Amino acid sequence: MSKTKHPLITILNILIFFISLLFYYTGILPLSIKGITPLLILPILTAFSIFNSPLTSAITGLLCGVFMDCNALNSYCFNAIVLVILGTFVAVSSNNLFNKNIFSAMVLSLVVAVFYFVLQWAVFETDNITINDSLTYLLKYAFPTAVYSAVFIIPFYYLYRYFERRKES
Amino acid sequence: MRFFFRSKQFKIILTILISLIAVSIIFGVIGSVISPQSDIVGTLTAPFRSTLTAIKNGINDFKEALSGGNEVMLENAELKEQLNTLREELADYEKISKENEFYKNYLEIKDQNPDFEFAPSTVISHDTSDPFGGFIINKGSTDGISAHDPVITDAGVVGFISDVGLTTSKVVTVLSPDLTLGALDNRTSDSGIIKGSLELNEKGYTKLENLSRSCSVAVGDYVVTSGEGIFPKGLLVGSIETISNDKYNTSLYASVKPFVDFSELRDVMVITDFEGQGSILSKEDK
Repeated sequence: MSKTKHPLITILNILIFFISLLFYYTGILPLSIKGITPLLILPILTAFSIFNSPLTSAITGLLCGVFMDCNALNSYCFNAIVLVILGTFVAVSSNNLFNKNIFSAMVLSLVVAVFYFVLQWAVFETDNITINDSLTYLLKYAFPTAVYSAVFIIPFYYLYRYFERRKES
Repeated sequence: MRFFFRSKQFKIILTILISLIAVSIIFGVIGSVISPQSDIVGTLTAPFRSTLTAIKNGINDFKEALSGGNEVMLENAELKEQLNTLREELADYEKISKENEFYKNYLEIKDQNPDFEFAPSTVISHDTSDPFGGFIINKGSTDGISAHDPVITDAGVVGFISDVGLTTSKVVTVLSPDLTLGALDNRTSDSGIIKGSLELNEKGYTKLENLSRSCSVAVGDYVVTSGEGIFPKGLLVGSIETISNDKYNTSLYASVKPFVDFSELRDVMVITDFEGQGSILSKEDK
C-alpha cells in the first residue's frame, strides 16, 4: 500500500516518534519509577517495524537514532547504528519468523530493549568505571529500564495494528 | 529470509550501516565534536527542546506554587540565596583565619578572577539515559564554547563540556566517572581527586578519592577545585558527607554532596576562558 495514499497516518507516525523523543529528553512526562525512565522509542519502533518493510524500519530507526545521538553524551552514532539494526531485525523477523500478534510483539519488544540496554552497558559502562559500579548499572538500571520500556509495546502494538487496518481498508 | 539478504533493501541498509560506522570511527578518533548529522538535527530541534523544557519548568513552578504557595516559593528562593551567601561568608572566615594564600582566590569568583570569561547558557534537554544527569545546553562553538570548558552555577561546579556542536553542547556532570578533577579540602588543604561513582550517584553524591591516610578531612568540610585539570582553582564543589577507607585500605575517600542541585538545573555559566586554561591539555597533547 502506497504511503502517499495515507498522508494522515504518515503525519501521525512522524508526530508519535518526534513527540515521544521530545518528551523523553525534556522529562515532561512523569513516567519515572524510582529513577527508571522508560525509553518509549524502543517499543514504538518495534511496533512500527512489525507492520513495515525492513528498509522503512531501518530509515525510521536511523532518524530516531540521529535525534537520540544529538541528546546523548559521548554516543558517536551509537543510537543511529543500533536502531537501524533493531528496526531491520524486527521487520525481517516479523515478516519471516513470527506471527503478527501481541505475544510476538511482546517477545520482540523485550529482545529489542534488552539488546539495546545491554549493548549500551557493554559499550559505555564497562570502561572507566569499577566492576562493582558496572554491575550495579546493569542490574539496577539497564535491566529494569529494558523491562519497563518493553511493557509499553502493548498500546503501541494496537495503535500500529489499527493504522495497518486503516491502510488496508 | 534468504531473499532479504539478496535484496536491494538489504544492500541499502548495509550501506547506511557502513556509513554510520565510518562516521562513528572518524568522530570517535577526533573526539569532543558532535557528529555532523547529530549537529544538524540538534540545531534544528533545539527550539522544540527549549520550548518543551520551558513548559516543563513552568509546570514544575505551577505545582510548587500550588503545593506550597507562592510566598513559600519566594521565601525558599530567598533562603537558598542566603545559604549561598552564608557558605561564601564561612569560606571567607576560614580564609582570613588561616591566612592561606589559596583562599585569597576563593570568594566572589567574578571579582577575584577578572580573567574568567563566562557564557551564560540554558539547559535545553537532559540525557535521560545518563544516570549521572548529563544534559544539553543551548550554546555551542559559535558562542565561543570549546570542549573541556568548565560549567558552573553560583552554587558551585556543575561539570564540563564533553562535546561541542555549532549551537548546542553536551555537559558531563561532576557526578559522572567521566569527569576527573583535582580538589582540595577547603579547611585542611588535603588534596584528592573528584571522580563520580554509580554507587554514590544514587544518593546524589560524588567521590573525593586518593586522600592520604594521614589527612585530617572532616565531615562538613567544603571541597574546592585545586586548579589541576580543566578547572580553575577555588571553585566550590560540595561538602563532605562521609569518610571511608578505600577497597585496598591504602587511602581514604570521602563522599561529597555537590552544592548544585542537578534536578533543578536550568541556567548555567560556561567558563570559556581563564588564566592557565589549556596548559594541562596542551601538555597532555604533547
